[in-house]
Amino acid sequence: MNLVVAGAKRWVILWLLVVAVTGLVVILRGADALRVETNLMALLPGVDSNARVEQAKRVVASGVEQRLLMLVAADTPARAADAARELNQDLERSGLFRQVGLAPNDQSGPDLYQTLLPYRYQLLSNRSRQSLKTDPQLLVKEGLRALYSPAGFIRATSLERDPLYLFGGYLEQMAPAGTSVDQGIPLLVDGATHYAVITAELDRAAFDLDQQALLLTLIRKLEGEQVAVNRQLYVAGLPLYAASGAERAEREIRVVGLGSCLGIILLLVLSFGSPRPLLLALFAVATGVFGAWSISSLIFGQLHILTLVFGASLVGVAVDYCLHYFCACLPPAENKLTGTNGNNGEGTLQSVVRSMTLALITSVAAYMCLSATPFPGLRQIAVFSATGLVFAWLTVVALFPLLSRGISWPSRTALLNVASSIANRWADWLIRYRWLSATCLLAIIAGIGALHSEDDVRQLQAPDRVLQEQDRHIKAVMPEAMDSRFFVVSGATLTETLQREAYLTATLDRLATAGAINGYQSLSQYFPTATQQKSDYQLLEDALYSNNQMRSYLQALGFSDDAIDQEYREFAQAKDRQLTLTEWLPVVDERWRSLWLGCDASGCGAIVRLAGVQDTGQLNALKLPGGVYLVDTVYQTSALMAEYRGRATALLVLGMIVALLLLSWRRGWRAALAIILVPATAIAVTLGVLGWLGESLSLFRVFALLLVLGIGADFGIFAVQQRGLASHTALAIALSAATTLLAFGLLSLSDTDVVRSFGQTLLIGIASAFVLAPMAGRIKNR
Amino acid sequence: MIRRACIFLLCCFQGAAGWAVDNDKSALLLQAVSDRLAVAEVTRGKFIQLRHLKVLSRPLISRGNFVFHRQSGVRWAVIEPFPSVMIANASGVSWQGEQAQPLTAGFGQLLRALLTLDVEQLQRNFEISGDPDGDEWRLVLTPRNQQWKKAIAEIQLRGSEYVSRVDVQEAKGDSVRVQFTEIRFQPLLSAQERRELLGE
Repeated sequence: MNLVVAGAKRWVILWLLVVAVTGLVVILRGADALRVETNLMALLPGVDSNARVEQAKRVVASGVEQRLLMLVAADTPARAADAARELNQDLERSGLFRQVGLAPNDQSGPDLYQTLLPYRYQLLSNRSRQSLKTDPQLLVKEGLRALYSPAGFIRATSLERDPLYLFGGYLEQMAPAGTSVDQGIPLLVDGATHYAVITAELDRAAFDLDQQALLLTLIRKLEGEQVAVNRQLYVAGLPLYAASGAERAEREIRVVGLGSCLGIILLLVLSFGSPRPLLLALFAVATGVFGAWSISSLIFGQLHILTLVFGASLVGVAVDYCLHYFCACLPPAENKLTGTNGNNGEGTLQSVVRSMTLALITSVAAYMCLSATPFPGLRQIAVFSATGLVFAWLTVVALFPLLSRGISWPSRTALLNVASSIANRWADWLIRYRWLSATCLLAIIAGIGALHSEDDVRQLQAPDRVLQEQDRHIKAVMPEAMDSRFFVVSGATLTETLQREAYLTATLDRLATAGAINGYQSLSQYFPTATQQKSDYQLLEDALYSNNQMRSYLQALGFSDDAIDQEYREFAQAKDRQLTLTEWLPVVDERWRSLWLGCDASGCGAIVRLAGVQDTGQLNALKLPGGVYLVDTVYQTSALMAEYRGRATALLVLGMIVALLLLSWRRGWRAALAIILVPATAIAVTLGVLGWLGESLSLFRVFALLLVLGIGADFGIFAVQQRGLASHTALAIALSAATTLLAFGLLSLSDTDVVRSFGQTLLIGIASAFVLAPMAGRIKNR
Repeated sequence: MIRRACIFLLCCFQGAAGWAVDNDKSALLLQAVSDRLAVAEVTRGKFIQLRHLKVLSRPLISRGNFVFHRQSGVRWAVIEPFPSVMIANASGVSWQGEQAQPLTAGFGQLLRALLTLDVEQLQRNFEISGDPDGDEWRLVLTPRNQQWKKAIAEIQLRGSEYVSRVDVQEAKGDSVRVQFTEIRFQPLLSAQERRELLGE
């Protein structure tokens, strides 16, 4: 078939049609098409788990995803609180937040007291329970002392209902340790420094990249202002990490996009002289990016910022087609080594188009391998890149014959000579000096041997040192700050769930004593089971009421006999009372309420949150009873990444075999073997070099190797296709390697570990494939 | 209940907003009395505290001594019937060497402001009436803030060159009276007192 001339008209119509339809889609979707996702965790697949665990994850995530936590340090509590009030106002004024400061649950105060009051004889703090068991006499003495001290007013106000402040003790226990509240501002103290706590919840409804930038600017401004008045502001929270990650990604997109464009412009001008090839290439790349963006944002709803970082490097790959096309247009050059003459007639153009199509198929196949993984982020990157390539290819095939008419190609370019001589010499060298090949081979094997694997999911997070430092400080001041790990407890009935939860709590107490965790938050800490309530009542009866300890205490204080009888009557009446969870939950703080997942047809569920996990090993080694699950997203996702690294490696081998079979069918087994040797050797070299560099093999590096397979096979196809070493092919491969290296090489400068390792792997892989491609031509010719 | 009591204490000196400087009379009155007070770095003395609770047939009575340091705060030692020591300074209030609770910083400040008749602090939070003249002056402080009105009906102060009696009438009928006796302005702080009050 004569793609180039005969069907030109049909191709142009096809191109117009595709671009018009895509354009229409973009117009219809409007601003939605431009929305960008920035949460790095969105790149990850979900860990398999049951519905209850998923529900718990959602509850926990909703509590942290939009929340900022700030501490402002000052030398007195009053100053810290004042600073917090000012900051709260600044935050509110910014309009970025849905809520600043504590939720207005001050109203729940009297409610809590009034609701729980009838059950006061069933509710004891751990401390009171302990004292009642060991020495009730001491408890009475403590009560008297406190009542006569200047702080006695606190107890005095509730003396007639709670003479020993046992109920007060239970309520106090529910307040987080070490904190107090100053008109809605929680305060902490650490040594001589006082901290006021500020929480703020972002307004999700209108949160996009612009607002993330605003958030960062705001926080930096506030930090600066506090430092100016000698106070320190510490800020932590997922939104901040997301915002700083997005800011970094934007910067990188600019660097990678601009850098690869400039590089391409320079190369094209140097190679082809006139500006028209350059404009054509930019046009093809622009079409590619346009197509990639519109189609993938249509498929995925919104694009992830990392997709765009990788997407920017797509420029370097899409331009390859233009390069091959232009090089085929160049006038032939004699090749002394092979004695063949290149030709630039219709035949060459046709065969280049054919190679291009085959190359597109292998690249798209490689990308589709990526998209077969369950990583949403990678699927996006793969679809983005594949559609981009298809659009760029279509532009070259459909429009270039028409648009490139009448370009006066330079007869010989300096680059052409350099490229063809390097390509040929290098291949000669390796073939002539066998020991060189042998040494390389040994070095590669040694390197691969030194390679170890790394699957920690935290490499996804860009290490913003300032943020991490602040995070650490906040965790040090607030050891009770909740960890990302938690337990989910499920049971067929409410009672069963609470029993299991209480059992787990006992285990966690042991872990806390052993120092493996700082603490935990569970319902059973504050909501006593029915059994506990009964035994607490019994304890009070035995220790204080039946032996008339209480009576003599009240007499000593000066209670009238009537009042004493009244107290005893109330105690007797409360005997069979039982506080239920449904009465307790609505009046307690949000922190406890959010721990209860509720009941449905499948049973009931609760969350137990962990604070300050010190020893992950001990935690993961716990033998959990049925219905209790540990959710450790970091650990579980890391394990998942290790599993997928294995699968991706298998995919790599499989891809190679499939490509080999496919190519054998089209080109014969000799050519196929020669072609596949290019990416296969390039992959081996990459692994070897990574080993020597002391890098580790992560999932994302394996993904990069999949691309090396695709692009390396391209190089092999062109090298073999063009009957060995026609110099325009050498130039095309050199240029295409240069542009690809530029694009991915720039990625390897990224601060985000995953982007850097991806770029670095591609850089090494593509460079090796480039060096090895001429060899493929040689092997084929032998 | 606890909440109510805490709110009272905290509100006292945490900058209650919304008071207008409409009450020159309060200020003048306060200033007149405050001018009569002796200015000393250290004030020492004994106290007797009577807490009248509606439910009890007789008051809870406690006795002890106090050291008041103008710059830093108060050391309040109950001797009878049950010994206890309270330190109230800028970083909060602590009992028996426990770590200071910032929660109760307001309590210390209130005590300090009452004992020194800190014009600015008191005027900001209370409406003030009374009689500045005669052998013994008398001031009546009524809270400005609605929230405290729920806790406190009024505070009465009496004295001559020092505050000699404080009566706190709570809104729900309970009351506390603190009487100061044997007031001295010497000696300066001992090493242990400096440690406790100034954290030196």
